[in-house]
Amino acid sequence: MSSSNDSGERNSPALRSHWRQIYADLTFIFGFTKKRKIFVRGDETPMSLALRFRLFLRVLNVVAIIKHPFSSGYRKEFRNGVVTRWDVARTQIVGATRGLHPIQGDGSPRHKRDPLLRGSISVRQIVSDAWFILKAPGPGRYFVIAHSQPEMDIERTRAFRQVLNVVSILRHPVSARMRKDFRARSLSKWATAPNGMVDIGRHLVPEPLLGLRSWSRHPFSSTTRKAYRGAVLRRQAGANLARLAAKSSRENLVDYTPLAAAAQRVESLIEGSLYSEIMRRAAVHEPLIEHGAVDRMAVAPFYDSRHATHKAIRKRLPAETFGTVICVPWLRTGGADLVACLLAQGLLDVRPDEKVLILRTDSPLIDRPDWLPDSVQSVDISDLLGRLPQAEVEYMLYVVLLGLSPRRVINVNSRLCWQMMARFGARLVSDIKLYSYMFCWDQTEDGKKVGYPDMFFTSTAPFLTATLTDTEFLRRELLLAYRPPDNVGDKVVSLFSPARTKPWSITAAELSLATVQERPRQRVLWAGRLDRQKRFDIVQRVATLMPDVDFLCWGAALLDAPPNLSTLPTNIKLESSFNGFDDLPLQDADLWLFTSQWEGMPTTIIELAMRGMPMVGTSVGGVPELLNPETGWPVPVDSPAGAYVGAIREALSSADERLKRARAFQQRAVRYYTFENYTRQLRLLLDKEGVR
Amino acid sequence: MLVTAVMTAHHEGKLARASIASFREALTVAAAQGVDLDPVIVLDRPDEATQAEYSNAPSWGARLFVTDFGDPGQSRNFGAGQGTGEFVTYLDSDDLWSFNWITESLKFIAPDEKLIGHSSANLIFGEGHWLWVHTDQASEGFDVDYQRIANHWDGLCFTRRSTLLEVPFRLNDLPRGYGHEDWDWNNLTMLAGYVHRPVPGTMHMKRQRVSSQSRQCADFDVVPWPTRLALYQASGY
Repeated sequence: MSSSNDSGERNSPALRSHWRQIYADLTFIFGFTKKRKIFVRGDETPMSLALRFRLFLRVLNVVAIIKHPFSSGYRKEFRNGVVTRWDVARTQIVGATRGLHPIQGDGSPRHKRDPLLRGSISVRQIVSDAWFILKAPGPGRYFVIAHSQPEMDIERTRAFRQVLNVVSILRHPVSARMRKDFRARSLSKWATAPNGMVDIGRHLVPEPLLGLRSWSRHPFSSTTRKAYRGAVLRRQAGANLARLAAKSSRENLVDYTPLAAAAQRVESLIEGSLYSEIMRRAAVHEPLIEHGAVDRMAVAPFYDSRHATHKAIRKRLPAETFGTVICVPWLRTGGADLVACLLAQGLLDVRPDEKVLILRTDSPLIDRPDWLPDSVQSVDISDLLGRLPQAEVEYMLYVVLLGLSPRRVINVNSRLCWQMMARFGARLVSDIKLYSYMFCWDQTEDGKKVGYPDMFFTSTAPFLTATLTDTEFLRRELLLAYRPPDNVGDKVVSLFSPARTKPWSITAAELSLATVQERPRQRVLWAGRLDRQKRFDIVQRVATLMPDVDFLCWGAALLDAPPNLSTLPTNIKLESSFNGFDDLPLQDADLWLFTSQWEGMPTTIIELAMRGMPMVGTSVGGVPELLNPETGWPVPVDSPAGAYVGAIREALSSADERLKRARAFQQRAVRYYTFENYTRQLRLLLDKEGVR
Repeated sequence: MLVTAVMTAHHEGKLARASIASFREALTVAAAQGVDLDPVIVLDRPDEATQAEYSNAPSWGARLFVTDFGDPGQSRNFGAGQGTGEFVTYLDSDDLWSFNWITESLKFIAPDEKLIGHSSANLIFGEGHWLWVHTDQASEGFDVDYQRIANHWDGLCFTRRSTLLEVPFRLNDLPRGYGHEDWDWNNLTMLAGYVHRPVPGTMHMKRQRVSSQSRQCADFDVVPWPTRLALYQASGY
């Protein structure tokens, strides 16, 4: 009864292993759970695949139907087929009853509206939600955790509801009223408390041993006991899996054999007369020890959801010893991402005998793999960590870093690493040198300083080997704002981030002069994110005030909502993005405009200085360390657009002055922001570590 | 063979009655099978109620000591130090042994100097009943990676006294964030080449309650002391 599409999917070579996995799961499940409660377990790897999830959801639906006490007709029909043809019968039955999630779209309006089938919702996210349900910790309690998403969109809520329905039916096969109450209550709580932890208290799925649990709930019922005899365990869980394992070398095959072995050992204990005698005698001393009341069994490591995450992380980590682990949130296109890669290269140069690993802790994104030095490995563990509650995520990173035991860990903007350091850093430093970069404060809309310096400096600086800044400005600000004692303040160290490019032998200003005759109008360049911080609104006002000048701009909103561009002045030409400064027409423009509201030291400015590009820019954060009245045209922060216009007019009025200041700009960059200077600073820093 | 049976107490009060009864029953069963016994009671900073429960311990042959460690591991070390037996086993004052714990453990441990015995499973009682199954380090189900994130075995072990003298329990340093002395001791003994195994046919009954020690562990967010076992590449595991 399966659709042709379904059949095609199942037969594709790429999916056979997933079916094998599901078959292994079900072999195990059905070995335990005929006429009993059922648990479907997936291992870590395939669960992240959308297709595997779809297949798995079918299984969940099937399970729900099997367990549904009021659909006896379907149940019988399905049970009759389940042993031999479970894979065939599921879709039609699932779609036909109980309002469960229909898996296969059949073209009906309902299916067209379905966000999951339509593909408008992240299946990965739903998997993550479902994973929380299935692996929720704690005995007999069920938690829904809303991650860090501030809002739960309606489609995700719907999709989640479908999962909840399945689970709720799965776990509450006896009471329609309870089921309805559960759905209503869970949804209302979910909707109203998205940032909290919602206890819906229904003894849902507390751990990944439910098959075993349902067995262990009734250790003294002879019928139940017989149904879960060790022979069944061996045959269904052990032998079948062993056969499957022999056919497949896939490392992600779930191996229940040790669990079955442990279960056998305990079964042999609690089924025998000895157990009864132990309990009888103990109950004489302590009546609370009731004979036969065991309702759960925990077998390490299977009962602990952290173990699967830890094993999955270990699979991804190279089996090597690293001198340095750099923790980053991701590797996108930001300045901090670039600094992390330059730092990795610098470490390789300064400590050529040590290896460097970059751990992506907050997101798998890696937009600029070309920034990574060849011999540096970058591993994403964010998706694996995302399965755990926050407190466990921090702990897991602590365990992993302790396990890797590098000589040093350097945090470059990983929020998780900051949190881990704040919690465990004072202990971790007994084995590992800890460093962390700070770049700048962020600002709220009302101008209040916020961000990592505010959140973590005072709690971590005392035990860090060094708090690194990329500007003298921030170093001074930290010392001024927090007034640490000298022994802490001395460990706040400026490391001037290097430019990626060598200084141009002919400055952009000179090249520009060579082409000035070909430009009918003067040109000013600007590039940056179209976020509040970068003040593209200033550019628009300046352009309005300077209709005789063209403004060529590059940028897109990344953190904030995109600005209204419908009234863009006609002399602004806005492109979405660029790959590198060498793609920009520096030699065919007269000036660079920089307008940020707050900054540390933007890599943009360093790169442009190396190229000798004349610049008008906001004198903010660490920028004055490079851009001053000798090297360009600085404009005080919070100045009106007119101040920028004045500076631009002055710069555009004198080619000689542009040339002179651009050369000074470049010379200053060469003095402080070369890679050689960076490695020299880095060597001095690491030499203070002493012998391990 | 002489077995030193150490019972440690703190603020358990009346809860100790069931534990004492269990302790004495296991001693009686072992004595009946010809095991020489050396019962030792260590009251570590006890309150009056707890002290009262043990006031007649000397009358049933136990040696009673009052200490001022304020630390469970040091109490155990002290008990082992006072003991005269070739073997040592522990019971906390709110838990119970199965009646056969001493006899079965002795049979299981005696042939191998590197063995440390644990109950086959712990029945956790209180709010609900559940079994915590002790993993066999010698089985294929054992995974040292799990020992790196959590503890496989509790501290109510049965082992040679020489083991405890070679690898004593470490003093918890809760304010600095180091605790879980039983987990730490399991790590240290593994590194020293000892093997932790469940003793077939034995159970411990552990009362589910939040002790002052575990509350402090939570307050200080403690972890075990880092050891070589934590290292992925150089632990020897």
